[in-house]
Amino acid sequence: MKVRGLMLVLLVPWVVHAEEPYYGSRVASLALSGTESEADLQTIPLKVGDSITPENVRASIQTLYNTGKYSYIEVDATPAGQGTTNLTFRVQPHFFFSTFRLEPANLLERSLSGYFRLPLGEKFTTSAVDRIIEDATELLKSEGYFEVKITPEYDRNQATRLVFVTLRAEPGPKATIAEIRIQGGQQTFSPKELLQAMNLHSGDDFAQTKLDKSVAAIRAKFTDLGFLNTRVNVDRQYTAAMHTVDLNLTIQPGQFTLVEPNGFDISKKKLRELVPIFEEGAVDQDLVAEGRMQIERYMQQEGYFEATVDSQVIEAPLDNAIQINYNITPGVSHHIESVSILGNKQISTEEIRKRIKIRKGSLFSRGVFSRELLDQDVRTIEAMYRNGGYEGTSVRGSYEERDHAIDVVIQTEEGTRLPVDFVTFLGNFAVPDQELRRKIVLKENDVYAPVAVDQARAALMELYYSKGYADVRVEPSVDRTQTNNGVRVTFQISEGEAYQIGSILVAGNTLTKEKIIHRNSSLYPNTPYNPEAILEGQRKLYATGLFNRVEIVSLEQNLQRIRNLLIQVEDAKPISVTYGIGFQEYEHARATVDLSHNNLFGLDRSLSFRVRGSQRERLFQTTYREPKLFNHDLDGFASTFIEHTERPFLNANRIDFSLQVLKRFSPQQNVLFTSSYQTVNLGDFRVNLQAQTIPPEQGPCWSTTVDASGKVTTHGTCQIARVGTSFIQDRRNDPLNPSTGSFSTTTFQLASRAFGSELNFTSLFNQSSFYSPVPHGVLATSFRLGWNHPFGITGKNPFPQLPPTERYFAGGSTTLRGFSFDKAEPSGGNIMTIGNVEYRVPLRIFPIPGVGGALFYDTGNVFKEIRDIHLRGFTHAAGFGLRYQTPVGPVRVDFGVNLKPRKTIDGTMEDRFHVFFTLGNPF
Amino acid sequence: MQKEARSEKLRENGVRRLFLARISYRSAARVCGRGLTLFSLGFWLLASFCLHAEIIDRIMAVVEGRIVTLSDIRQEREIRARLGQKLIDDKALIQDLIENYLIESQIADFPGVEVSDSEIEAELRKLQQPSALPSPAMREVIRKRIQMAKYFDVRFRQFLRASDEEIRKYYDEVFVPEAKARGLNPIPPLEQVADVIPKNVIEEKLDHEVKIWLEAIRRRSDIEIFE
Repeated sequence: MKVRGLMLVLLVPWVVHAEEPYYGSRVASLALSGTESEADLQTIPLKVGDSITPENVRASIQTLYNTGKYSYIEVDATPAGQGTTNLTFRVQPHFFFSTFRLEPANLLERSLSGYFRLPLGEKFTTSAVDRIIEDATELLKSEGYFEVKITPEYDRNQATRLVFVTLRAEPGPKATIAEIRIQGGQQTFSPKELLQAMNLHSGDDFAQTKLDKSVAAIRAKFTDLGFLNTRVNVDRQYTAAMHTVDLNLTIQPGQFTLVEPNGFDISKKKLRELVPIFEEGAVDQDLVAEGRMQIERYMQQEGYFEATVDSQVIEAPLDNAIQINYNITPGVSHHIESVSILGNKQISTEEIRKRIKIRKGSLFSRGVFSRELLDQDVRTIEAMYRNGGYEGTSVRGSYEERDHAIDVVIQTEEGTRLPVDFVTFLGNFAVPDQELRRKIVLKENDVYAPVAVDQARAALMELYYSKGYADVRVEPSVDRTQTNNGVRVTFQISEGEAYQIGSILVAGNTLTKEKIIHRNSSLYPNTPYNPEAILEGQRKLYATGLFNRVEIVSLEQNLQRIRNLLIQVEDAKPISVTYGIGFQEYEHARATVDLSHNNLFGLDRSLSFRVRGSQRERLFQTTYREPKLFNHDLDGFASTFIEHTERPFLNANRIDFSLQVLKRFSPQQNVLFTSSYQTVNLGDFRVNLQAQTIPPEQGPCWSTTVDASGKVTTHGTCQIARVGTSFIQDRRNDPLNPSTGSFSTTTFQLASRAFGSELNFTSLFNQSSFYSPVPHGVLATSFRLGWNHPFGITGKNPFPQLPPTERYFAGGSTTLRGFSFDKAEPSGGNIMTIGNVEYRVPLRIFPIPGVGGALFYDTGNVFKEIRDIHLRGFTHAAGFGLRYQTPVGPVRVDFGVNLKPRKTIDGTMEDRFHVFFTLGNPF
Repeated sequence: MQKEARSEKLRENGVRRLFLARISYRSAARVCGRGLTLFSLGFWLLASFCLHAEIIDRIMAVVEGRIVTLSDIRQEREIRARLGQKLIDDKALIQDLIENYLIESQIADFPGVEVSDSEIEAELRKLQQPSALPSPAMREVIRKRIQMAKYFDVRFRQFLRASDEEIRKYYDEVFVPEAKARGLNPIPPLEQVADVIPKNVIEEKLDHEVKIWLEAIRRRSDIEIFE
């Protein structure tokens, strides 16, 4: 009892303290806890010595919250004696969202970011997480996980203030389809046919995406028959006990719609393209009218320039059917004889022709013309002049018809270009006028052109971005001046605030090391916040191939002039297996399998294995790549391959080991340094198997013998060690099918006994190709020069000093098309000179797009030695080819004619005609 | 006999054990009591030297960037008490304040819903106790409530109608059972209560509409509650 009493007494001070009236007391001291700096305390209304009231405490909390730095604030009071109180503001700075992960990860095909927007970099709130959980739950339910429950887990990093959110899903069993019931539509299709169209069966896993496809397939089935506006409603009933879903489909077939063109024959397929009711799956007046206009346009483009089209709609409501008749009066068919463009001096006719739609007729085409097109083309030409700064340009289009032939004339009266009298900047406080002027190309006294003003605006934005003014706006305006009849261009600039990048955080990487991400982003702390640099950083990270997803966002913090960045990534699967099949001249069909790990140890290193096989080649190759060799901007490669190759005149087995360093100067220019060691085993070297007399070869490390029957056998293994360098410049607009630009590669190699090689020689090779757009197509030219120069002991021998694997051969679909593969000079040579000219045109006469043709001329040859080069030795071949564009390059059939066939060693004449079927351009 | 002797012996042992247990208990209690005393004393001394901070205010929730503090909740509770409203716990009060904030942000984007001083005075006259003076906070709460009611009238109520079927259903399913429960006899026919029931039906519909509307707003709003 006494004890209890004593305990009660001892608790009295607690009770007394708990009721101590802090409100009304004076502030003894103020403190801010939970953040590094107490500077924010200066902003609050409460000061030391003030009387504490609920209002000023709340106002202080509000002030601190308004800084945008803190997610939670509490005020702790402790008595300080003599009726005063110490107040401590305990704050919790904001956390920000970084990675969202769904576990288990294999529930969905893609990560969550592939389905909906995630609040990366935004302030952490549980309500945002709740919304994502709701979306993820709906998504999983649509994938058949009807009983899914998701709970969030948060991993907060106090140092970076980032929150990693894991959504742990208990998916429950995946639902399967139990029964599928179909109502309606059975007058048109049997239930079996409808079920077949759905491609869904009892027992299949349920997924909303599959169901949507099934519904679309059923609608398409009805639309194909002419039933537009078909409705398919699906009611899905989930039975939790069995984890099954019953699907009840109700089909309401739409109106049966028949579209009939009268007066002109238009194929059903074309009609569907022209009349939009099929694409829309609905019938209404607007769509019928649009169909009428499209048919009229089509008729005019087919040469019926006076064609008229009426539409007539006949409804049969009792039969739920509708017929749309398009009554076509084609008129007389015309041919576009000529399209003349006159009066243009400043813009070339070629340039104008490229932009207009009217076309002159040809052998296989009547041309393209209609009054509407003519008006459009007039407006197009006027816009071309306007954008070029020509004021007052007048363009008139007219046409004349005689004997169903139409001559179109487009007459231009060019206006005048105005001078730029003044270039003025307004609103720039941070960047002086001189600096702005230096940045733009547009100057006073230049000729005014709207495109130049746009370019100047873009340049100014770029300048401000580079200084961290991410919110800058530049609005140009152009006014006429009285003085010189010129223009004043004014750039109104709204600079906004300048920001610097604070810290750069990385999140989401499970494999790739952070330093690799930082390095490849090319973004650095304490540099200006440049939105273009950030986009470029994102692009560079994607270009590494290491990530499925890269986002760079700024954290939602209200920091003065600082923006902290978050680089959020999703690592791609590092191991890839690719395979391909192809067709190569001489080798015929070949297959390739590549297995590679693209991100060894998370350091962007790669190791790959390749196996390639065909009738005439077997290759096994392994390559290791090291980026940033010796911490420089160099890619290093170590590669080894084992190859068996068969060519028309030789078989060889090779083992090669090489080291390479690649320096990229720009996306168009690279330099490659190589050193390699190769063992070549010449199993067979054949020259003209039918020849009666064949000179035997004797090289430094091989020899050939010919027995009495003419069978040639080669023996020998050569070790070749060499170093070399290649310079590659690629300015083609499209590597697979270029129409402009150039490509050049120059390689120099040195093989020497000093490195352990059995042979001494230098090798210089250059290929230069040029592509120019010409009327109707592209002119492609290519020059190849190869020169092997044996020296030292090797050079003392007569030809051939080098094994056939090092010699040049010519002939085939990519060199001289007057010869089969390698057959221009059977024994090969140390010198190669080849020139090719090809005129490539698209062939629009064929109804299939992507078909083209080519006319070509090939010349050149391989020569044993330099002294053997003479024009008489050049071969000449010409021919034509057909191409068909595919996503991986053109499929090509070339017909080559040897214009100067020679006698072969065995006395027969070289074949004159050759056909080549292959993939890819010849150069 | 042996059995009885054994039982007797067991009983005696049991009593002895009990007696011993009691002695042990008393000793233990004495020991414990002293220990507890010493502990409490030590704890009190320690605590007395420590600053025992009290949280006098804090953020309870954040609604679309607006904070709800502990002082807001205290004030709201006080106002409700003065208005004679039923008192609810803090958790429910936070939810009410959150909803109020969400509704206010919707009203801010909806022009033409104003409240005059005379309307506030009229409302205060209905509710106020004669001796109490309304605080500015009280007036503000009244103003907001009137504004909310006006907003709901414009936004929802004016579009709501009570159909005959709904009136009949309400009469059958709600009014009649309630009347019976209250012992009304005879139960007034539908015609007699025809002017009252439609208002009730509309009120129910309004509650339902507002509930759905608020749920949608909550779902798209950023709301953080700090436990």
